[in-house]
Amino acid sequence: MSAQFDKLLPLLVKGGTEFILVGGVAGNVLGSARLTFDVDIVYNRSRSNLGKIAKLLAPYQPYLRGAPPGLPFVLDVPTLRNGLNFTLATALGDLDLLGEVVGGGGYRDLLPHTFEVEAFAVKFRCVDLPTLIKLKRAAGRPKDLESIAELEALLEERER
Amino acid sequence: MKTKRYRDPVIEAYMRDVDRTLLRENLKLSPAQRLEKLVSFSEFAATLRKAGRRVRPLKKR
Repeated sequence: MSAQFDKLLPLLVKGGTEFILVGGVAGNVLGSARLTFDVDIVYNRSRSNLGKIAKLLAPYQPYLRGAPPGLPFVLDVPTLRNGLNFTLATALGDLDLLGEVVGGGGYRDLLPHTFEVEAFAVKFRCVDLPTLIKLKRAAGRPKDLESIAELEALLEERER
Repeated sequence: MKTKRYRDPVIEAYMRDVDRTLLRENLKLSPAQRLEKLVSFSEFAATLRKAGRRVRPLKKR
């Protein structure tokens, strides 16, 4: 299911969560023309933020994406504390909650490499273009090669 | 003077196929407009997927 970007991002912002948009949606914010279906965020792992995330997502039945149904999975503060990166399916679409990303670290490490975006009547932080390229490179996934090429081209176009 | 960044030759090869006209059009938009475009495009893709699902059972007959 494609994420309802226009509902998911305002939900997180209005709930006061601290996060940074990364991944394909961040690419779109920066000018990428590639379609993406999930929202990837790097979240602050402070206890209060974990509580906000758990409370906000609870009504949308967060569940481990691709896992067999019926597992005793509950996205609460202990689960978030004991885990790090969660690939979730929710009633608002697919959401990747990332405690850390390869090549970028956690929320506080990434924060200096972000800028504020205003969209869907809310404001949130998005990773900048050079850092997004760095993260994609560090992930080292063959499927990202085309995406990295596009982001590099974007960087050139912006500098023209 | 601008210095050329090192780029992986594999990435360089992929860059030849990037449609820069799409990027230039996107760069004319604000980040909010780009996100609205993404929402609209993903809704369109969802509609197509639904249509595809409706057609699939017919093929089995």
